[in-house]
Formats: sequence, structure tokens, C-alpha cells
Amino acid sequence: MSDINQKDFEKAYCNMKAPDELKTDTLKRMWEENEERKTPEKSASRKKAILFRGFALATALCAAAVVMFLIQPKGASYVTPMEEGEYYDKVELKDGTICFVKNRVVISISPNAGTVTIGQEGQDETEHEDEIPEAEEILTKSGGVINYQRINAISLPEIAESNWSYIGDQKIYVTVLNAADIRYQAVFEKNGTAYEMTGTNVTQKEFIDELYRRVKKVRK
Amino acid sequence: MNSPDNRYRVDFEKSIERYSDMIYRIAVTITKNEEDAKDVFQETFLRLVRNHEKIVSEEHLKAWLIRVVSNCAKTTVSSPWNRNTQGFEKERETQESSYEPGENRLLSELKKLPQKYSVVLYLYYYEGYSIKEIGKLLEKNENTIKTLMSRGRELLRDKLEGGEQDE
Repeated sequence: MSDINQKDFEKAYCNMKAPDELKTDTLKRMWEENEERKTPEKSASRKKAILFRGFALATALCAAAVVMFLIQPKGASYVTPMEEGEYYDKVELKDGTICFVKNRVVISISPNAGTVTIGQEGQDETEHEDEIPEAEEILTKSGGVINYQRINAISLPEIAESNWSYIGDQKIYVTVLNAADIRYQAVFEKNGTAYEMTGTNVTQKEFIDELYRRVKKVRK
Repeated sequence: MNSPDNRYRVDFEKSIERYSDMIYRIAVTITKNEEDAKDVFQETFLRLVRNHEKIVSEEHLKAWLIRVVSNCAKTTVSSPWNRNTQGFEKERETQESSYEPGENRLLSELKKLPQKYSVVLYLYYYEGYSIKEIGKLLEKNENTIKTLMSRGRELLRDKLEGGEQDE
């Protein structure tokens, strides 16, 4: 068959017909649609009902969001405000996994059950570079104190994978402890050694600024 | 159907009677899938209910239906769901060198053609529309339709001849 003509097409399509039940069902739906259009009051009241329901739902969702924000449920986290591009939060997907392109600090408010160990037990202290002190205390402008120390290993309450912070590709555990004087805590690991930083009576900005500085120094 | 005030009125029942097969064929030709074609079929006629006041004549109705079914079917084909599941279908199509038993050979090969060619060929050969009319119906330039026709015919001929040689 090399020449295509009308007869071939007629033959090809002659058995292709719209199924009867499809026709019946469509006609029925057409009448229903037409009836609805003919009774504008009914259709208007239906629209009003839909609008009202939508409005009620939106109000309920807003209220729920406000309540959730005020209550801060378990496992909630607070993503820090970014500053001058330093704590820039940019997430992209690479082969289906989330990659933090730039820095991102998430402060977990209430960690989940379970524990996570950061650092390795029995790490040789002499391996550390000299410029990284074993322990340090820094007084902040707001009158708070930041303690920074090198430790072997530490067990902490588990946090969700998405709540880990990153500065560059350094993964950091950051949480705020439920104490009266607001103690921020950050722990990260480099070459098997854990570094812990706690902030008492410090502002969030002071704590993150110091954390950023420390991580950069360790990563050098 | 003309009303006493001489205005054309669309009769839904007659429209289904007259054009259902044509609408269904175009929908199948574009979507290449009977289930999608059924959805497109219903959507087309429901749109007619919403727009029947705009139809001024029987020819207008037929042309309007062709345009709407072709647009609806194209939207269905390009929907994210279809785009994501198309890979498997395409793979399956290329693997199937022979046509289904009992199915017309030409129809089987037409279904394997990209929809832009098959719908133009259908309208020209089966519905008997001229190239100019098809251009108007599909809102495309006449020269574009000519190119689609010629390329479509060529592809179809190759497929039919290729199949004959295989046999």
C-alpha cells in the first residue's frame, strides 16, 4: 500500500465509533449542566455556598497557623533570619536529594526522641591543629557568654534530618535548650572531633555570627 | 435547527447523534488512548452547553466542535501526568513493530504518528476538508498545514511500506 487515499481512511475509521454508553452519559451530563445554567438563582446560591465554605476554611487554616505558631509544638524548628547574604538559604534538588547550596541555620526547638552521637570516642587529642583552642569563653556585646570547646564525642537528642543546619557543607546540630536564660547549643564534627558551642543570654544573631566564624576557622 | 426568530439553536441530542463519532475519532487520533479520548469527548460536549449561544449555523457548530476537541485533546496530551507517563507509552509503541490483530493497518500506523500529522491527515482524507479549511479549523497557516500533510503522508507511507517489506 503506497498511495494513501480517502477510501483507505474510510476503511480505517469505519469501525471507530463513540461507545453508546459514552454518548448517553454525555447527553445526560449536558442536560444537567444546561439545567444548572437555566436556574441562575440556584447556581448563584451554590457559588455563594462554595465561596462561604472557602472563606470559612481559609479562616480556620489561618487560625490554626496562628495557634501553631504560638504553641510551638514538639519537633518544631525556627529557621534563622538571613543576614547580608551570609546565612543565605537556598535549596535545590539534585538527583532527587535536597542540597543546601549556601548556608542555612535551623534552630530546633524541641528535639525528637532518640539520640544522635557527634564525634568519635577515644579520638587522639594531639591530632588537632594548634590554633583551635580546647576551650574558650567569649563575652558578647549584649552581656551574654558563648562557650566554645573541643570534645571527643557527645550524645544529643535526635532531630529530624531536615532540621540539621549547614554552613557550606559542614553539617551542624543547632538547638535551643528550654532554660530560663536561653541557651543556644551548636555541635559539629570535623575529622572525628566534635566542637560544641553554647550561648547563654546571647542574642540569636551573636550566636550565629560566632558559630559561622568558628565553623569557617575549623574548616580552613 | 432554526427557531421562529430565525436564530440558530443547538440541539444537544442531534449534535451528539451527528458528531459523536467524528469527535471521538479526533480525540483518539490525538490522544492515542481511548480512556483519555472519552474524557476529551465529554469535555467537548460540556463546553458546547456552556457556549451554545455563540453557535450561528450547522457548519459553524461542526467547525467549533473540531477546534474544541482538538484543543482539549492537545491539552490532555501535554498535561504533566501524560508527559510523565509518556515515556513508557512511547517505548511500548516503538517496540510494537506489528499492529494489533484485527486492527486496520493504516489506523494502527496512524496512531503511531505524532498527533500533529495524524489529525491533519484525518481531517483531509476522512472528513474531506480542504487544506485552507483545516488551516482555519486548527488556527494554523495554510503553508504549515501543507507541510504537515506532506510530511505526515511521507511518514505514513514509509511506515506502511516498511511493514510490507517486513512481512
